[in-house]
Amino acid sequence: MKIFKHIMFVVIGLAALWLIGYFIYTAVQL
Amino acid sequence: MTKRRVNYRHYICAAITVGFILLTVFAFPNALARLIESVRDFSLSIAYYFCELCGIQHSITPTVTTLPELTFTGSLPSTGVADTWSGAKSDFVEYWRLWVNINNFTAYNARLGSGLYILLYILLFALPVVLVIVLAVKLTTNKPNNAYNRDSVPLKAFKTLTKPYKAVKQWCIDFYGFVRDCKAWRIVWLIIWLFNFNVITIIIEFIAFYFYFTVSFDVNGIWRQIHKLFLDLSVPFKFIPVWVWVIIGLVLFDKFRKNIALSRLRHMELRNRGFINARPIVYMVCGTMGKKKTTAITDMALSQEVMLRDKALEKLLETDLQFPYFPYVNLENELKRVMRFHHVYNLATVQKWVEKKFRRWYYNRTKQHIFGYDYERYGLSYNDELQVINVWQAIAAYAQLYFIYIIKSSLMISNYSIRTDAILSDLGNFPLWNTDFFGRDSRLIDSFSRHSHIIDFDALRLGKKVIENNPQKDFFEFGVTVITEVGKERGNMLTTKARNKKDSETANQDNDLFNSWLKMIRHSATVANFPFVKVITDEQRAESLGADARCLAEIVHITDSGELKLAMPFFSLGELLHAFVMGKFKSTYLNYRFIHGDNTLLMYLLKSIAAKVEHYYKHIYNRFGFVTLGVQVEQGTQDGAVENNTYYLMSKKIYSKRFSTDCFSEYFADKALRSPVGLDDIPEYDTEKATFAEMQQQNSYFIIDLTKSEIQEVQS
Repeated sequence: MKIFKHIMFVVIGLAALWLIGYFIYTAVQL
Repeated sequence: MTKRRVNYRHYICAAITVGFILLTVFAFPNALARLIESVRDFSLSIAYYFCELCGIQHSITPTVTTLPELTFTGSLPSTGVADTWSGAKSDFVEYWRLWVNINNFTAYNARLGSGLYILLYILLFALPVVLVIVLAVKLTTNKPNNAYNRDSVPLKAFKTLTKPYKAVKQWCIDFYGFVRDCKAWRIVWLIIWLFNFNVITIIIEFIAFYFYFTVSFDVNGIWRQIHKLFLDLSVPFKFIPVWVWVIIGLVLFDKFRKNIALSRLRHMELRNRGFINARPIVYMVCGTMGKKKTTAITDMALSQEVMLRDKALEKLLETDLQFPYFPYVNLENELKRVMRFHHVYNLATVQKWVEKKFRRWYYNRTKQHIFGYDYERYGLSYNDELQVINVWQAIAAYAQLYFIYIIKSSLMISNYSIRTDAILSDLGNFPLWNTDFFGRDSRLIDSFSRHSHIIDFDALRLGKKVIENNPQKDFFEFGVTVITEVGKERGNMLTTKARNKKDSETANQDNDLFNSWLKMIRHSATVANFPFVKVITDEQRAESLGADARCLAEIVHITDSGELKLAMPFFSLGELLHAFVMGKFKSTYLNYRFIHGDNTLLMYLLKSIAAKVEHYYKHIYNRFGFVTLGVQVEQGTQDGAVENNTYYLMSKKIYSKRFSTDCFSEYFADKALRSPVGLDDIPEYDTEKATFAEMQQQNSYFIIDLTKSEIQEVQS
């Protein structure tokens, strides 16, 4: 159960990184 | 004349400095231009500010709002940020238009995909390597041997090859230590890089704009400043490669999550203090074995010690403000001097010393006899609307509080050892305590640690003493008294009735008046209307302590001792990595140890990796781990309502060599040393059913009774 919680947090973290990356990418493209 | 040898590392530092300066000249030629411009902007802004402020006629045109012009390379860097507010607004609209553009979104994902493709490519190469390692482990662990601690040939070769690496690593560590100790080089390098990255320019420009803005209120000029800021910051952003930014980002992120963890731990500590403050002067922590009750009372005593010092400081400041122009520093210095000569060593002698000083002043009223206080100008009394306080009352209170505050040894008196690591910083003026439990370097704790005082129970007895002429019998005045297993020391009516007599010649629990001491304890410890005392005890069952003492106290039952948790957020990846590595390693390693006596290269490398992961994991949990205790508080009379609460045990505070969980183990070790046999020598049962002879070997009351009744039956 604890492992699943950690996996969930890692997935959320990766998603957040992906989103931050998109913000930066758009700024660079401008 | 002997020539002083210069450390060769200085030459290396000088060479590095020359390298940095060359970089300044060739890689950051515009840094100087920007600095010159910022100084010009600053000077004009200052002149503009004062002329406007004083209403002087002038023709100064501040240049802080103009774009940089001076360059040594012919062109200024472009940032892509608009230099006007209207341009910035249209850029903002354009940004969000692009953000929701599907083509942009797809292009981003495609770019990300190409990055992932490289990652997969690396994995593709790594997979066979992993497979080879797994196969090698399987193959090498299949051949048993007893070559104890013999290094295999590949391991020997590896150790020889990596010998220089160890030396290089050690040299780098030494060099880092040298630079850390040599402040001059660090300052020079810092200035060079602050200059290169336009940080000095940014600060000067900010101050220049601040002065310009305070008199001009040029709101439109703000965006121009932001544009200039981007322009200046573009230099480090372009110079530092992406991978370095990633490392910087990770380091900052690590710092950020550790700071969150520290603030969480400090918040828990404050909640603990709130819990302890709500308890009466005497309380007892109860719980079954393994519920961490001794750990809890140690933790509470440590917090209470800090709180007593904090309270003394608070009261000192309060007393200070009653007579704000009194030269307390003179009083402190004189008090420290008499303490050094041991003329003053407790609260009572402090009081006596102040009385002596008062008498001297009373018969010869001069400033010198009242610590240099100008009493004719500032007065001798203060009305707090409750009473009129004389300056000598304030002096007595201040001196006693100061005495409590500056005692360097622990304020804890206990029947087991507790380590305390509060540090008193003193520059010869007013000393300050550093009582942070969470920022201590575990490698240095022995250098500044003190331990609690050995309890002398005779000092806690108002009646008969174990040693009648004990010189320590009257020492106790204030402090935190910690007694573990108090029921075993004091007993209850049932346990003491049989062996104690009130009129006995020797001291016992019924004639030593310990309970009277408990009832009167606050009288000796009260300074400035606050009792600087607490008695914290523990026992497995509350009833083990006699009702007379128990009814004075509150009982804190530990109902639940939770599992170890982490106060640091964003550690899930670390948890998963640790679980994966240790899960794989443990079984492989145990299998290897079972079959092998020698050391192979593969296991050497695997163990090194596993140890690194384990050490990192342990360090994090030891620094930021905590356990939540579920506690219930009830009156000592055990007839009131029970209040549920929580108490936090933080690993860094309570498990850092604080106390020995087996504090009475020395007694049992001595007992075990007297034994001629060990566990392995004790006979075992022959079968799953004990024989009568085997039962008789138990020396059990029950078996003895059974045997006796059987004999009686046979005889009758």
